[in-house]
Amino acid sequence: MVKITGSCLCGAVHYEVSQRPDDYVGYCHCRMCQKALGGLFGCWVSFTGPNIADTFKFTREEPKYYRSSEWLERGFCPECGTPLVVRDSTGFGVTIGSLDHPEDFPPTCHCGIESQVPWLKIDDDLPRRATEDDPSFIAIAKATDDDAG
Amino acid sequence: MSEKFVPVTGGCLCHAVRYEADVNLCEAFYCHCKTCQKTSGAPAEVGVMVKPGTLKFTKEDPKFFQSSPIGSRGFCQHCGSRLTWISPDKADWTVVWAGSLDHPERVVPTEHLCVESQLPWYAVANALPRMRSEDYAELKKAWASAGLTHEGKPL
Repeated sequence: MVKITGSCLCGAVHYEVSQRPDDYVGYCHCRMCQKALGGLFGCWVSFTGPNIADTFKFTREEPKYYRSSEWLERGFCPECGTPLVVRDSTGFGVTIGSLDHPEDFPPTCHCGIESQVPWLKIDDDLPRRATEDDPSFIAIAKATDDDAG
Repeated sequence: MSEKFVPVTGGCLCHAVRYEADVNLCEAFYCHCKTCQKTSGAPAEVGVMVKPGTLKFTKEDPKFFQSSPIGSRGFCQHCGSRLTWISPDKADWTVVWAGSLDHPERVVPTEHLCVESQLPWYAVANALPRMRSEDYAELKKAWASAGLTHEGKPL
């Protein structure tokens, strides 16, 4: 059985996932990810699907959530501040650095490149998308509009 | 000698914590250590050195978590944004994280630290000088002051 684990630095929040990640492992260069992580980007391994409520578990404390946009919440450890997850209606993304084995999840794309820090040069040939051209963002924006409207 | 520190501002995502500091924008560093990976949730940190005594929080203070005997990490308790690393005496060694700055595009990284734990797929700025933890004199000195090796073992 698949078992993917991760945690925060202090060990208060642990997560365990018993399904495979989506194909998407993405750098997100958006300004919100930069601010939230204090870094140059977020890098997210995503877990979605109909069974996500059963397959994604926090096994100790729950993270604290901050709603950074209408459709997305960011979960972090309230004790040590480690950013751990984003969640929306489809599932979770976990920060790649919080995984116990980040080396096993090489990224597959760059998103939000309209706000990429100009001096950051990552040497790869991965696809690069602006937020407005990102299929997942377009789908979420449409669903949000439909709900609102 | 020209002054290498310049005034900057930064803060968290929800604006509860804001700071002002004089920082060295032109000698920032990638830190690839395991603790930075875990606590940042990212493949590496980019740290910007602060001139001693100049970091001031102008709204709320961050919450601090002591991540090792040689440093504490400050984050916003409301939104979780990560902001700073401060050594115990809060004077001689203070860092703000590049992404917390209002203008991270002004930062110029010039070296890689703790490269023994660099993630194999994170190929970034490969031309910059690279240092392993055991060759990093300032880090070893800080750990030695706590009676420990740079791996956290008794001296």
